[in-house]
Amino acid sequence: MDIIRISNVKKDYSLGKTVVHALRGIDLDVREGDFLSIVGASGSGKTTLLNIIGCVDNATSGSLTIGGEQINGMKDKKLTDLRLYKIGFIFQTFNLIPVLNIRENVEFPLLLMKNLKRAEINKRTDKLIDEVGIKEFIKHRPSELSGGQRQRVAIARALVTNPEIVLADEPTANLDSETGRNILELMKELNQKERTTFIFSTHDPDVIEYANDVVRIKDGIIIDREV
Amino acid sequence: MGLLLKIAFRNLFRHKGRSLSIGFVLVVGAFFMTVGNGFISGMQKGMDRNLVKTLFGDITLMPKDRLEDTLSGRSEIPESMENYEKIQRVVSGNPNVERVTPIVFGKAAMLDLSNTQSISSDIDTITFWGMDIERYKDVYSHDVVIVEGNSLREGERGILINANLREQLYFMHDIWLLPEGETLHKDTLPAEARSNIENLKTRNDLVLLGLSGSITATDIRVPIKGIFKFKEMSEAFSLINDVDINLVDISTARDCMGYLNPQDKISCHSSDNQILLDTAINNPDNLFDDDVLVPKTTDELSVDHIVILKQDNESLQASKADNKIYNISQVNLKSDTDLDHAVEDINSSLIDSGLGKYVRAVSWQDAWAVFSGIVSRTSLFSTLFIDIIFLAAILMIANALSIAAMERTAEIGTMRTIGSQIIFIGGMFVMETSILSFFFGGLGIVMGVTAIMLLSGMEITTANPVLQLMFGGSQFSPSTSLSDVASGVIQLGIISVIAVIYPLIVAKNIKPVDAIGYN
Repeated sequence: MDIIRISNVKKDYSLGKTVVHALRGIDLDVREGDFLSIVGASGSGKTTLLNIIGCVDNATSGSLTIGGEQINGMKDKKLTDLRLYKIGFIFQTFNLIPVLNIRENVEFPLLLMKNLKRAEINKRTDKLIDEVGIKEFIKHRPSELSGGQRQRVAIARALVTNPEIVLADEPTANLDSETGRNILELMKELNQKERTTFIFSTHDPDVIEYANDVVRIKDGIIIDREV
Repeated sequence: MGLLLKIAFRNLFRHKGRSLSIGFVLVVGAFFMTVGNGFISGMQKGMDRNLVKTLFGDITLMPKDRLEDTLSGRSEIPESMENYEKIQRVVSGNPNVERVTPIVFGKAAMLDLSNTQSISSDIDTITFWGMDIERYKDVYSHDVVIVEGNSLREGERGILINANLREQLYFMHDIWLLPEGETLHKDTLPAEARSNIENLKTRNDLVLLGLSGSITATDIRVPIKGIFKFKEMSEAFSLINDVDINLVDISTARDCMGYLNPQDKISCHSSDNQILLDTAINNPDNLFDDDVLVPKTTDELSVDHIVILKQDNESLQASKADNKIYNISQVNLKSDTDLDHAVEDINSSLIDSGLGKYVRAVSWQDAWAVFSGIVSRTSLFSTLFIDIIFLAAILMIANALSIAAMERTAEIGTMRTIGSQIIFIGGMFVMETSILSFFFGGLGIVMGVTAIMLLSGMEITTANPVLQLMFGGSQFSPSTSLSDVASGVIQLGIISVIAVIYPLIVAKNIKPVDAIGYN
């Protein structure tokens, strides 16, 4: 079953009098439980595509459906709720909240959810902290952790809400190769265990081997798909 | 709420320098606001205690057709009020009224003051309140201090001279006024007079000619019974009012102002108007016959206002009895009565009882505008000063939080991306400003209240009339109340809300996508 359906999505940016065509007509269906990698060089449009899939940016034209729900024209409040309940995000620069400790960072999205009991929040947080192996750092602030540890926290935060999709924009770009491999293995493991759909962008050929679905993008167009 | 509080607190601690500089402005603002409010409150209470409740009365009744509300300074002396007994009954019956004190507010020329005085060009005037001593005993017991001689006794004719006027007369005419039967006290004399005591001329009476415009105003020799000062703000009163108030018995006041019994006043019927006019134009000498035709006041030349006033011994004799003629009346309200509402209420009841055409009630702020103006101007100045501090605080907070919002683009963008609604981001900023306002503003208020208590406890006194006005009395007694503190807290709340508007706009414009693009 397709969890994401993208049809003829285009994205243009205006830079003064110049219009940059970041996406020139993308058609893409993503199956539930996929571990999909979007591969391309810098400026190929992979981050733009991820942003549109993650509902943090609007397409200039085309349509996007997530979990059967049409995204085009959706109000900001509803889009925010959709991101909270259905999508998890992992950033290249980790993007943890600096004033919160590790545990608080992981549980943060749960605190934004309505009608979730404290016991449930604790249970889910403890489980994810345990799964990503950061139990001993829960009282630390993000600045006291290494890059790999921070990315583990980000993964835990992305998965704590039991999202249908996790989007990761170059999750290993700021990590050394061994830590990067560990992170990808962790993501793969969680993908297999939870059946969560993972979509991550990369231009690192070593990373691609973890994906079961590879989409190659160039100049805003999908040039190849390898399942 | 708990999460917002946690994030806000930690962000404030994370940027200690910025928080402390905003806090400093808030402390200073809240401190000056509290002290300023305490100062104004003390001034108002002092004025209320030392002038309004004793001298002015909360409300003044005055003739309806008087053109101006004010009685202060060199304003026109009011005409007499008709039907005063009925007016007194109606006003006294008002449930908010504690006391009604009628007065003859008069002005007279002081004749025969010195050999140097020229009648035509240099007439000295004296302003007085003629009153029933028994009725006015509250003023005596609370606000009048006899510095020489005696107070007026019931039924006695005489005048109490304001100590300020006595000094002025000495400097203008080299005359030193002495109460009847008193000998010269060297220590009460000005230094200049003390050195030339052998040549000092003294007087223990005044010859007054009422300046009412009525021909029944006669020149009366009035014995000086005492010299007095107002217990509080005597010099300040003179400084601001420009005219000293002297106290005289009611009969002398009425005689002086020509306030005769109503039957001695015969209105000119409209049918007589032409005759009067013809007489005035064609045969003006007749105006000096026994029955005299004169305008009521020199500047009111309309025929409609001409009255025939019959002056004879009989009417003068009648004036010595209490004929219930007054030209103003002071109304003291019960405590905690709303002044504006009471004025409205009294005016309504006067109109309802058919007396509205004779009299109107005016608040003390209008009747003694020169004094209330000082309170309002000081209050305005203080408010402006505090507002400037708070404006600086608002700009500082808004600027600091806007910069903070921009610096936290990644953080705010991340929060938005992972599911925070805009209202949550807004709440974060409101919480940060509220915490700053609560702690630093609260500290400023506590410091202000402490300063007020300390200043009040120090019992600072002054003889300087300007400072007396600022203090509302001779003692500096700033005061504060729970409602003042509550109003301070509300003001701080308003500042928090205003200060956070612009940072919220900045934060609102941070899109989730900015979190991804921001490194």
